[in-house]
Amino acid sequence: MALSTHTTPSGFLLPSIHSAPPFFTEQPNPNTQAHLTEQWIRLILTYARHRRLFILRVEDAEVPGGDWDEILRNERINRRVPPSYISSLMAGMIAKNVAVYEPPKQTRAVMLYWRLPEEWADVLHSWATATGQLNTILTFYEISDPPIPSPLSDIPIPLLRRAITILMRSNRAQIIGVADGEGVRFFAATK
Amino acid sequence: MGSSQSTPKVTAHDRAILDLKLQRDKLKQYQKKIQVVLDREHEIAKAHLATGQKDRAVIALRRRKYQQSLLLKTDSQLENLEQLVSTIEFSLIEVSVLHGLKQGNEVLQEIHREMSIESVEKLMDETQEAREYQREIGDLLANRLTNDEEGAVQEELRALQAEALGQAEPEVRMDLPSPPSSLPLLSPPEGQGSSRLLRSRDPHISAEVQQTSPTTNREQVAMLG
Amino acid sequence: MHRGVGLAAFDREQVSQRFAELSSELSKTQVDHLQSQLTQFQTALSHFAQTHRDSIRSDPTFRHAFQQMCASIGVDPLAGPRKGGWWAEMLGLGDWQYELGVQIVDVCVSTRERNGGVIEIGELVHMVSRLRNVESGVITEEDVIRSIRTLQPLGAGYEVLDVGGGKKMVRSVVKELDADQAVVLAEAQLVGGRIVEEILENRRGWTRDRARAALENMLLRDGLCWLDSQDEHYGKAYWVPSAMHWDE
Repeated sequence: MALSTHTTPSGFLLPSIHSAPPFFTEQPNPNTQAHLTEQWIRLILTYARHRRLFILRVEDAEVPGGDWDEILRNERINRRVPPSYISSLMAGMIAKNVAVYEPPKQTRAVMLYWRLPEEWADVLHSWATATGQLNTILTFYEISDPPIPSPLSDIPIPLLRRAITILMRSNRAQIIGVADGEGVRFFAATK
Repeated sequence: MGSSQSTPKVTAHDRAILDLKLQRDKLKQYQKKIQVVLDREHEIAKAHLATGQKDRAVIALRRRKYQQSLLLKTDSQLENLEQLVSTIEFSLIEVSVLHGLKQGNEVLQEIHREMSIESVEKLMDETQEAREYQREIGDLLANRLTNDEEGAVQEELRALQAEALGQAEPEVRMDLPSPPSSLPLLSPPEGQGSSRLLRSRDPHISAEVQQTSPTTNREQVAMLG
Repeated sequence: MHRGVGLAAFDREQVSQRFAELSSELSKTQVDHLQSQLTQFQTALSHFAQTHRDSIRSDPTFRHAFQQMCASIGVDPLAGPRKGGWWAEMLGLGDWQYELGVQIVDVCVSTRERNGGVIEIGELVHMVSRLRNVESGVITEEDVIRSIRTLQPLGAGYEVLDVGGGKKMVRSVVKELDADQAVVLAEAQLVGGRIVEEILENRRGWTRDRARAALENMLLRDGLCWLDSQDEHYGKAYWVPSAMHWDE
């Protein structure tokens, strides 16, 4: 049996290791597991980027039919990632700083950083510049759900907030609060 | 402290715009919700029809109609809001343009004040003085130079002039008539033959030669002849 | 005239000096001769190197023949004081062999996490070929084995293991494989990587305890196999990554 790559219906190329049955079992040998965790994290993040998924939940491994079926399940070899395994992979991602528990103080869902908040900050600022929205007051909703799809479509508000906080440090953004909610205003980089 | 300095203050205008936009977002979200309801009612009506419960299907469709009218209402409200937001944003831009114009005008007036006749005259006087001062310095420096150095300076000046001329040369040359290729025929209308030959060649030189040394003149003429 | 004793002595001295001159002249000619022969040999060799260098590098059969020729006249083409030695330098073969060695190390180290430091030689050849960007068949198992031998002085512990059934594996960790583990590796090779206690019981006549001990050691202690706890038949199976066929 040769282990080969596979293209999913969503057009994602699964690595050959995804067709190895033991890939779906948490390994008792810590060295082996460290290697496989690395493989899994890379797979999860590239898939998240491919599908623009931001949140991974333990539930995704528990019930089929979610966004993550293509990688958490392999029907061709009849394997799936057990929920306990996804929990420890989540912990692994948090340790590597490529994800955070979102909301905090629970361990059932993580927000994935397939772009780091610093990178999101740059994307956000470039988008505001390119679309001529510097010095304009924008709502968070307007950024995460724009009428024209943008690189920021569907960005979770907590992640957006982190990116804005980073821009605020270099005076490239300002948060404006009113009774009903919040808005943000971007400025050209000062130099 | 530093951040509050370089980011502009949040004005009442800003808050008003943000408020409007937040209202607009709420409407948009509401519309999305209604759309979901609409779709669901449609499915329900279909399901009822499939099971033969016609009156239930009608109820579902009625509910759907009502939601649809709500959607239409929110549409017009949304339009109003959007218009308001863009009007305000546009007037803000107008204000800033006006502000810019005003500032520009002030600067222009300032410049005009500076450009009064007296100050221009004064400036001209000052310029005259400066020019004299410049000449004095020039003289002073020239006196300090030895003859050799002065010669070198003149030489350099000539070189620079030649260079400048050389660049302009092609155009000048185009207008020049070509020199004669043969000696002109001698047809003596008047005067002495000896100096005629010279004069026809180069009147300046011959004039100079005649003035300085009339004795050598004949020798040169003989040579030329 | 008076002939002094000193003069005869002088004669004798002169004669012995002549002899000395002659002898030095003779040995000089010999040295010259040798030198010219050596130069000739060197020219011939470099000519050979120039004409056949590419063949030696690219053609496995030619390379094999050359190695055998060297062996039969008692010359190791890789022997020498530095790097690949004089021969190797002449032929550029040492570099080739050492390059291959470096690439073998590269492949072994980069796959170590996956296979626990044991790799099937066929896969190693395949991956090295891909690293060199050459077609399969240009590099042979023999080349790889010879290169591994040249790595021995480095003390990295690279070793070619014969696991039986004509299967060879390369071990790149300083860890002795016991006989049972070698058997497991060989069995896993036959079935594409998946191994369970029952296979060892049926095919090798092992007791269940022996089979379990060998497998658990490989799994937990050596990281030579992976666990699959969703196996359809046994619920639990061991997979030997070095025996799995990866076509990446």
